[in-house]
Amino acid sequence: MTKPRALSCPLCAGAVPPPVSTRKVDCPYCGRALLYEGEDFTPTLLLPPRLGEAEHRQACLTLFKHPLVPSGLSRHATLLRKHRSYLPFYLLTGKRGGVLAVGKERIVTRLPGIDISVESSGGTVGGARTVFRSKTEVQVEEDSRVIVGDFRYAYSAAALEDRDFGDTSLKDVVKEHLGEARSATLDELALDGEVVDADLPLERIVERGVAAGLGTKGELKVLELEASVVYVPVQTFSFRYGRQTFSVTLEELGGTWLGGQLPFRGDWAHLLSVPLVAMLGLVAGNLLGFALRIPPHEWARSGIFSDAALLAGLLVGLAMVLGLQAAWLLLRTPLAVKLTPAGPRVERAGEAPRNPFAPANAIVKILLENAVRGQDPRGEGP
Amino acid sequence: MSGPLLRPLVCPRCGAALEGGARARIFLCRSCQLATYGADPSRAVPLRFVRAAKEYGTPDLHAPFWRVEGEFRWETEEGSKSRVYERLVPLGPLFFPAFTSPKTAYCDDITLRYARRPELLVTFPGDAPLLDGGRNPAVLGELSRLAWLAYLDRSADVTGVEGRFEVRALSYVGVPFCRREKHFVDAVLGIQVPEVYFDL
Repeated sequence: MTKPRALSCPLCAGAVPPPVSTRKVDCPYCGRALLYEGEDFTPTLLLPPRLGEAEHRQACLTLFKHPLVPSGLSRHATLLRKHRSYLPFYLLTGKRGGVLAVGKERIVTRLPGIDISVESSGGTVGGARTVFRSKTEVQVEEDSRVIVGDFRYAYSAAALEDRDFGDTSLKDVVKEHLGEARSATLDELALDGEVVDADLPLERIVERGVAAGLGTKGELKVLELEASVVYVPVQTFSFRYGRQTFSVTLEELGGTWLGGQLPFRGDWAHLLSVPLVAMLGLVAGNLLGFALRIPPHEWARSGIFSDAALLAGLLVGLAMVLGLQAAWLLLRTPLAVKLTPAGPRVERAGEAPRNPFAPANAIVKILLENAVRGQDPRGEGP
Repeated sequence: MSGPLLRPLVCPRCGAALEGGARARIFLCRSCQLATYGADPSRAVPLRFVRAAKEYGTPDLHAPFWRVEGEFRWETEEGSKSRVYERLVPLGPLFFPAFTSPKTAYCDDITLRYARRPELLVTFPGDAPLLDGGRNPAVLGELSRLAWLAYLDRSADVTGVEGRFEVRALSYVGVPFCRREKHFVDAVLGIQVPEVYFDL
């Protein structure tokens, strides 16, 4: 990062502000052009936001009409705060080259007569006959490739983990809109929003990013490397819906939603739980109907029916408990819509409250355990 | 870093203000026909232009290239490769783009194509406007070595071949380009490059 330092004009000794985006500066006193030759210079560039108020509004309206979010979200959500942040990215451009050792694979078929194998011929006096076989194998030959190429990488210059979105899609945004970059001072950016510090050291980024991609074979190396810090604007909207607060983040160059959370449309869960409960009810009803159709004397006459009745009872209980548990989870688990650059997806936003039918689960568990023990000849049952 | 942090952008020879845009690292003195990387007087080299062929008309822009003259020597223990390399037509001066470009993949091809037609790239003093240049000439020796090795590799694999390039003369050259709808052609060999080749 460029550190502010006191500079003075070599011609008039006037104070010169430190360079921002280019090494060329003009002396504010004598007006002569000067060149900053310090090695610590990293140009600071800004990708100016392309979205205005109208575009923000339109982007939010489109998002709030997504089928996964409540249908009345755009009407009932209250915007609490919107603020802009400038996220720093290192832009590394340069040239790399060298002679890279690459093996060239060739499939070689050896001609008959060159490769000879001997097999015994059973019963033949004299012992052996010669068999000619062609053989195919892969040979790796030495080969080198001369490579000279340019590279342009964008790496996040700040840790974005706590921001609910990664830097992958933003890297592409930086590269795509680089032609629009202009110089900017941090003071200038701070007037317009929060400026996130570029706190990851450039040396580490170069070591882990550019140098790591060079490969281990041959002598490929970085010939030129220019680094600059590019600030990308993102807009975060915080709003209230019901009793909860949500926030979503939009990058302001291409208009892609980066991350955040939205309320989940609960009626989908309600709709899903209805056929589930109905189906389980149908199963339980059929089992009960079957049991009721058996005459009482048949129950008493044969032990088979009493066993069947016990099994049916257990199955009914199990089906009911599972059905209730599933419906409970569907209805009461807090779900939310998580925004990703690839699109919204439904996520669990927290733990479901304790199911009041949980004792039924315990009873079924005890019954099942007893039933299993009763079938076990080594068990303690009669 | 030794020396002053701020240097005045003046010609090391005549003291006139040097010409160059905000993003330039290479600055020009038109009166002395010199180009200098940074403001270091020891890095001043001649400023020249390549003449445009008549059939292309008036050039729309001149792009700056480093023109490198030098000697390339190679060594290999394999006699068969030596014989192949000896039969190759020697390359002429090498032209490397001195401007920054988002699509410089085209540049390597241009370097080789210019080096194979040195008779068409005669240079002369001139005063046409030039795009800003920024490439540090310190890497030109290595780039020239690799350009030569790539040339040899086209005829026989360069595994085990040692190459050394010695820079003899360096100049800063404006190459004329003409606009043709959504692309440019150089007004020397007619090589077509997209608009994005130049970071205009």
